[in-house]
Amino acid sequence: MEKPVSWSKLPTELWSMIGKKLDTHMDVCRFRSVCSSWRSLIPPVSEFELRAGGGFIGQRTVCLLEPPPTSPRDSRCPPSPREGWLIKIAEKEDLGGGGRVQLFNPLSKRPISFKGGTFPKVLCTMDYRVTEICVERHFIEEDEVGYPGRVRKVITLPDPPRAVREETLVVGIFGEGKLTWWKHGDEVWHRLGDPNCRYDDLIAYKGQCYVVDRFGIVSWIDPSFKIVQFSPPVCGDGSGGDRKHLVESGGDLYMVDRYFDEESRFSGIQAGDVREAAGFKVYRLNQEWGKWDEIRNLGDVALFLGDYSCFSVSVKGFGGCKGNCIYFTEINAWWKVRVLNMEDRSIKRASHSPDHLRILWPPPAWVAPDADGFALSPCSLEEPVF
Amino acid sequence: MATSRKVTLLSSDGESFEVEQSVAVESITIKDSIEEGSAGNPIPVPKVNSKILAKVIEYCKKHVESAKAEDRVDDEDLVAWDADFVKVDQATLFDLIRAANFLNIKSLLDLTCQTVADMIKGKTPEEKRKTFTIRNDFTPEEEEEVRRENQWAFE
Repeated sequence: MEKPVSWSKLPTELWSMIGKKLDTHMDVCRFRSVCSSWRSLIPPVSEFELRAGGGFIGQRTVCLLEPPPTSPRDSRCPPSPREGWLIKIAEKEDLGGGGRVQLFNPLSKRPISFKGGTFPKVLCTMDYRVTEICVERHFIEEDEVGYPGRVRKVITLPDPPRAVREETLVVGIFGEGKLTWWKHGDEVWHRLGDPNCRYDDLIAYKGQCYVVDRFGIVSWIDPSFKIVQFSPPVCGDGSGGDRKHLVESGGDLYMVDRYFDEESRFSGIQAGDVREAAGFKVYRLNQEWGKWDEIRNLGDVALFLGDYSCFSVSVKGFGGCKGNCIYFTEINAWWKVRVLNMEDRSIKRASHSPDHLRILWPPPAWVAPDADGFALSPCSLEEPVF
Repeated sequence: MATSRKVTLLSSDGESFEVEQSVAVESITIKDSIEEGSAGNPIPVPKVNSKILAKVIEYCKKHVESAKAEDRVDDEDLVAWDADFVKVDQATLFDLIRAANFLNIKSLLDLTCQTVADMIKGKTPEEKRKTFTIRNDFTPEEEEEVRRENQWAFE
């Protein structure tokens, strides 16, 4: 048996160094919730309202909730399967704090509410293991001045924004694929990149902003706001798909190429029309050789391509919840949540695939024990009731 | 200064380790005492036993060698090597952190602190207390504040 370690003998300045390595709001908050001495070592995360031309930047956080292990682990028994619930929350800017939050569908901006009494009014997050998966930013329009047009996706750099608002940069894709940026003190957004280029997605990766265009060329934005090509196009022969997404997984940069179905590819389609996906290809950027490697099996990982963020979750050890799949919303139909199973390349509605729905819905019994007899409001992951 | 000069380090339990000076000076503490001329020979390293000193020396050797190589590929190899290096039991990790702090080896201190931070991530405060044998010493007022900060109140 391992000799017990007297961690309490570690000098506080070392605990301070350790605490400073925590980089999510949730982890910092929980570090400060352990004991008086740790609480005094790290200040609370300071949030500030980030304004950008024509509005401001809101945020929602995707978290994975898990129950803590209940009994002392007996190493002779196989570990019990993990369970988890993937959620997205946003703090409400209410008076008096008190941590009022709204739950959302992790893949869109659709709020999830419950009919009275079926879901706890208050959750003490200290009762659960909570892993922050990603923080997505979105643009909230306010007035006309400096408004750049319909903003599809934004990120901030650094991500997460540190305490100094003046140093934070916002980069966004708006309209049908134009790239723009905004810095504190500016009146308007600035255009970036090739005006003839259609940019499909952007991501903050290793402290830099990376963007992908319709051909699968990934570029990064250098400190002087020039676009610098970082990868070759994903398909040199033009056989690539119709919409590219960037996602980070396991420290590597991935691109998911979405192919629309035949009807959705017709040129007569209007900007706001629904475009259904027929298939996806996944590539990982091989940075050493500067090329894309097609990945046909994601193993224990599930990729999530949402409207405002793309992220990955490892479902290793999760009972009955499969990895090697891609969850996504249809373009311009964010209420349609689908799952691509990478094994057989089938696409199903999430609500029709229990192995894949489990991590999203319904709320597990260890969160909402009175879930039986719970009636959902129209805002659920299934097709709307009305 | 000849780069092939060797020094001898003496652990707290009396074992000697002969190392290149370039490796020994990864530790600012040792570097300072050599430069001040106050280091004896062998250089005593109190508070660090032979098992841990051997590991620290292994770490410094690897990092000094890697710094000489120019290839970017080695950077990734080094990261992987570091990840393996810290796959140790808690007692060893604890001793490594304290040794890195005492010997003032910034990169090793960063690595070991990051390892502990990774052990903490995601866990409940109660789990953290159990893992590190920490007492919950909040006053009732602080306890209330903590509870409020960690609470989600749904609409």
